[in-house]
Amino acid sequence: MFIIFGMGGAVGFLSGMFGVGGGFLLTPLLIFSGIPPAVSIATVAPQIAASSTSAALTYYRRGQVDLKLALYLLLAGATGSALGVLVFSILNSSGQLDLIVSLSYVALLSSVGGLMLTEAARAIINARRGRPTPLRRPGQHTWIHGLPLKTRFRRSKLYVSVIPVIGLGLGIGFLGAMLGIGGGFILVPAMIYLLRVPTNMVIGTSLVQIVATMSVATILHAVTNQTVDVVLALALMIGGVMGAQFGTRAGQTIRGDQLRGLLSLLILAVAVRFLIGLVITPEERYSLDLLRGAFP
Amino acid sequence: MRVVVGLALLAGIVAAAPADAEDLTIAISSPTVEITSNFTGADITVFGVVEDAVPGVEYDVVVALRGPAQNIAVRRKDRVAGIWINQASETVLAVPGFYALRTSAPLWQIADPETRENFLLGTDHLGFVYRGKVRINDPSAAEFRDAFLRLKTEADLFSEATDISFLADAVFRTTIRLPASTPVGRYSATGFVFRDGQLVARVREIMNVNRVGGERFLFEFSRNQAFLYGIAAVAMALFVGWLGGVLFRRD
Repeated sequence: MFIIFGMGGAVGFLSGMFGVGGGFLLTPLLIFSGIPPAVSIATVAPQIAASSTSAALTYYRRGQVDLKLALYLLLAGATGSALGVLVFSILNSSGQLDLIVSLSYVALLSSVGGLMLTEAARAIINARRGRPTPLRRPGQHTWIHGLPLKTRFRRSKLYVSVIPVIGLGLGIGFLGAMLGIGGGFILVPAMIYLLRVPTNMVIGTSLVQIVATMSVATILHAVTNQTVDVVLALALMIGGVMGAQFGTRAGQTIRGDQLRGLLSLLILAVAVRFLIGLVITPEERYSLDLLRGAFP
Repeated sequence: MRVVVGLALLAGIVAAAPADAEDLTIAISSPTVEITSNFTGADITVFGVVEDAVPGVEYDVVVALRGPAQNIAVRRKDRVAGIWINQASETVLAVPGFYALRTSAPLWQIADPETRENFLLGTDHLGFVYRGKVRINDPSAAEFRDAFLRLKTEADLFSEATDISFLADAVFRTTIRLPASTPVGRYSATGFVFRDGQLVARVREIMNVNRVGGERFLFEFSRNQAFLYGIAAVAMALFVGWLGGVLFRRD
């Protein structure tokens, strides 16, 4: 119990320090500590909802949430998480959940970690040489802006097709429910670079989307897979909320590019750990799986 | 405490003894085992009395404690393109979730193979039924049965031991450990008395392992009202998140 509390605290500390949701660190940590992936993933969903709630409220009060955009995202996100829970359930009963989860984490974390590491390394090298980091000046129009079904999001001063918005919501909802991640680390860059949402609106809007989809995911996991452990979730939440306070303070003492470099190394380490679990010869090749329900 | 309970049980058994050929009566120290949130396992003591025992005859006794039936998928990982993947599997149907066999002498000395087979004595004679296979103990699934027995034994859920002590000529006792992971449900303890390899008496007693208190409440809530349980989990998450924001407000 205290170990769980500590893990919640440690991940809360890291998420406060790096300004990330922490689901993609917490879920692997729970899995590595021996909690079945099915329980880990379903239980992290309410923890992510909890850890994003207070920040989402703060951004909302400051008027930094585009409610219309959030609504489109979260409707798509809820649909995506329903699909995610469905696939999760099918994989779980066929015994392939652990494998797919591991493979997905390896793919997701190594690509995100790799991108972050190269970006951070470039920024650090540039800072060493005293050069200013070249600001990426995105062109005004990409293929995204050529898509039909355009809608105006007044708050974000955007006039963009709903197709990429819904696609993004679906994708994040699906991954979030299936892998136990909030998806902020994918959603935020995607909103900035693909949709060109202004930076002051991005974080608040994505937080609202994360709270909503993770809430939906929690209910669906509870109904479909019955693997949400509220006691474990509460311990993680309390640990996480407290850890985040100290993490935020620690994060302010380190430079941004170094912070991102550290985070990317951490992400890569988790990816490597998953990869090792997949390729090394297991000590025990056989496993037992208690099946629910009756068989003819 | 345990000794007192044991003596009280024995007194009850002896008092209730009818008069005829050999008979067997057993009693379980705790007919209900309660699983609380800090349950770390429990010791179950089974007492028995061979009634109308012929003086001077040596009896052999066997106690089998079986947990509730479960369907278990046994999976095997194989290496595919460098990655270990669950490939082959067999599903064993209605196999006990817990099985402990205690004997007063090695089982093979007490009962012949036919008797062991008939009364499912010993993990080798449990009678495995596989999904999609007609034959009991189908040899094509032997690999999975062996793995199943090994994993169950490693988890302390299956055990066999020559560990029954006689307190008097016809009064015996054995202790069985239920691990923390022991399944919830109805258990049956069956006692057997053998005389020169012949089964002379057999009796069965029921024991229940139940969740109690908060553990039971949460489990039943999550199973019987899954949707409400989900809503409650979300409400808790939003409340804790909001509270955290209020308590540690920085702006």
